[in-house]
Amino acid sequence: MWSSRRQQPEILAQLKLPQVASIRDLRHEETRRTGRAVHIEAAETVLGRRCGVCYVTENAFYIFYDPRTSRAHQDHVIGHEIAHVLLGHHEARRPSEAVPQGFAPLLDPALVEMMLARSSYEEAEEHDAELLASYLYGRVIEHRLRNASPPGDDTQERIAHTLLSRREAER
Amino acid sequence: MKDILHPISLTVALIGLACLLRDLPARRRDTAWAALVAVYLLSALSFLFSISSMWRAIDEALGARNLAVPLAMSCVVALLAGQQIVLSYWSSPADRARRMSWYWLGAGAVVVAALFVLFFLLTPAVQRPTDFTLYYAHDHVYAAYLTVYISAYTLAEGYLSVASWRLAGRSPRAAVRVGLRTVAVGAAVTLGYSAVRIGNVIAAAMGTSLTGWEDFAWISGDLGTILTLVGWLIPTLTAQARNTSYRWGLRRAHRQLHPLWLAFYHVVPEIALTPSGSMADDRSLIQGIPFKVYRRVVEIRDGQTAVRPYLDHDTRQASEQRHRAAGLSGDELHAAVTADQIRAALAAHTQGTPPARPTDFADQNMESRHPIEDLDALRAIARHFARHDHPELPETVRT
Repeated sequence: MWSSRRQQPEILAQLKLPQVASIRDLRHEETRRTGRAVHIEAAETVLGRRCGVCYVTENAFYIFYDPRTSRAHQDHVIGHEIAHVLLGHHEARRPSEAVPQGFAPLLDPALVEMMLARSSYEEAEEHDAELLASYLYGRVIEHRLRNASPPGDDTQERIAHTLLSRREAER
Repeated sequence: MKDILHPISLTVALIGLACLLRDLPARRRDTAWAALVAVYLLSALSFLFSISSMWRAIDEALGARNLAVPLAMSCVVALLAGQQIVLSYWSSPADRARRMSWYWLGAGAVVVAALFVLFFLLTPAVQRPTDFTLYYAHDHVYAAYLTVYISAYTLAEGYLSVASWRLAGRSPRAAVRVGLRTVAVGAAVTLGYSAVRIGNVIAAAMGTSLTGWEDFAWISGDLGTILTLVGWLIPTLTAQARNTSYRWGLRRAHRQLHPLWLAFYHVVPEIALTPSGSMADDRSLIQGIPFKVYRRVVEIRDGQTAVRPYLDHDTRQASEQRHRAAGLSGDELHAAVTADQIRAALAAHTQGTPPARPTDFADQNMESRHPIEDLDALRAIARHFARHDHPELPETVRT
């Protein structure tokens, strides 16, 4: 669906993220950057209209997504929550909303410092997180497209490098 | 024959050169690519110099008869060296390939120098743009000239043919395999030209001539070269065709999804993201069709989530019975039922009437792990959605 292109938005260049095969794999980078564990869990319990939420505690991020939607959409929702953290929205220290009891025992509501959701794009943070999630998923699709061709040995890679137009290879 | 074939070959070489030069900004330090560009450029020049009208023009401009002969053949020798450089960069690491390239360039320079020395020893006074070899084959100096040239030509084309065929067999990419095999066949076909020219030298030594084989020589030489030039381009042409088809498919998908997206947008307008601000700096990306299709898929899925509380069990059951009776099954059945559910849920959402017996979407049973699969699933739903909205119309693309 995405175009495999080398050019990328400035925000992705600034973030210097590793190339990953799945958007869920960005949790490791998030842990490396913040020092907090990232838990990604399915939960049908009241996630709101946009089917994703991230609870921030002192030591971890708890990302919940709605498993009733498609896997690709789940990944996008998870990407949105990861984007919030990558953009530093968790550092704003806003008061959290009440945590639904349905997340127990995965999450102790008493420990929650903040909630990052996926709500109206009229809010700047939501708009930016959604846009970054779209960019991030674009990178993942690009990675998959680029690795769709079976790898060859060094000689074959050199041949492909010469004979495949850069324009076509990067699209 | 030569003046019919050479303009065609020249055109092919120039088109190939234009294709390669589109990559120039990204390839400034790519020696193998530069060598390939040189092959096309030199090939074009060799054909250009050999066309009779150009041959005469060169003679007049430089004041020397038949100078097009060493000029064209020098271009061929140089392009043969270029081909060997390409093969060296493919088969060896860069450091070794660089050393081998100097060897090939040196060998090419020696052959070119020998050709010019022998040509000026020959001093052909009669202008013969169409049958130079036949006319001068009986001259011992030209026999030596032709032997030097055709030896280099035959060895280089023979090696190119064998090496390309071997490399093709190991390639995991179908387009590269086809391309390299075309190069191999083309190089082998050019050996027909070599055979006739070797025959010219032998026939002259035996006091006879191969006049009747002249057309075969040109056909072999030009056809083989055209195949070789096309072969190098096949991987890129294939990728370009695939990319064009892919993007055309995305545009079609974008149009197909529009009625479904619009139905959700009318009821739940907040699903739409309008990229703006500093993060939306890459306008070409945001305005590109891949981004638009991706957003359309996400926003339709968001719309489904928004109306999920309004999914009615009875609606789903009735829809399943109707579509099963119509012969639908599997993913097509799930798509048709989901389209009916969306329609009913949007109406219920608008009226604010949640169902007595809630349920879920039938498309939960559709396997769509990858974004491409998700797009395909939504296209199937969108087709059924649009069909119901416009039952009098055939299933065509509507925007």
